[in-house]
Amino acid sequence: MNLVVAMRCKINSRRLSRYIDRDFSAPLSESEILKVEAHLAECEKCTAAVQELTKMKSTLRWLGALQIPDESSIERLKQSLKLQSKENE
Amino acid sequence: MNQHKFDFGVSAAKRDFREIIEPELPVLLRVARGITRSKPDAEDLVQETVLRAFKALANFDGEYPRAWLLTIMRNTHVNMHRRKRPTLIDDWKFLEPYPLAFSNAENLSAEETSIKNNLSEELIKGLNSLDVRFREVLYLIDIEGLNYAECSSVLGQPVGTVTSRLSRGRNKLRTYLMENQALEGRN
Repeated sequence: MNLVVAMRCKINSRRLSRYIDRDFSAPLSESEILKVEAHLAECEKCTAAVQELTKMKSTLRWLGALQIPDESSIERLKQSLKLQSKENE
Repeated sequence: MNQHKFDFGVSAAKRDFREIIEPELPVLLRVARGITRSKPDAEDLVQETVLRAFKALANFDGEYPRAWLLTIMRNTHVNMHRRKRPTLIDDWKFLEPYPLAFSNAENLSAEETSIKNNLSEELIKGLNSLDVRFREVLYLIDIEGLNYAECSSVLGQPVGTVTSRLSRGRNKLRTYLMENQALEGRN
């Protein structure tokens, strides 16, 4: 079973996670990105890990997007914010 | 860093306050729900957060309002409950009905929806099996779509800790899914 992610590779799993997210608060440098991509081109395990982690992330995000927004709460908060803004004008 | 993005004086900030806060209300409310586990408590927490944000406007540099508000929300919750820090989500049941009830969201085909629904069920089980340190980071970043800095604001942990827990949590979740053959099928 393909349980070993990137542990025995030069690219560790934390870096793969940052590669997938491209988050501005922990970005990989251009050279790091190139290293990851060069590694992925030759490592099936890491390529599978990236594909599966991406699939997981996409499904979790989908799950989050399906949450019903609590419109009545949002409306009450908007009204309250409106009042607060008027009071401070 | 691009500080004073809105060219903030406090009076200008007060004028723009509503425009800055309003778009963030849905995210604040969802994260508050994760912290409080109750709709009325979540609304109260957001209400109090907004009040405190207004009082703290002079200290806001105009950049990253969501992270700023989430930090205030975390501190507000800690003050209200005298807890060292909030513990997020120990009951995932509130997520479960939505994929089935809204299966046509994003205009997915029936097959794609079925695959996502099946994977979602296993993902929720897998999330429940994780230590809360990993679960809360996965909830905030992968489910709620916060970035690392925003997640760091909610948890009061450094970004480095967030990235480490995220990566470890994802690997644990992936291992769980592989052991349960839930990642097989089309990507």
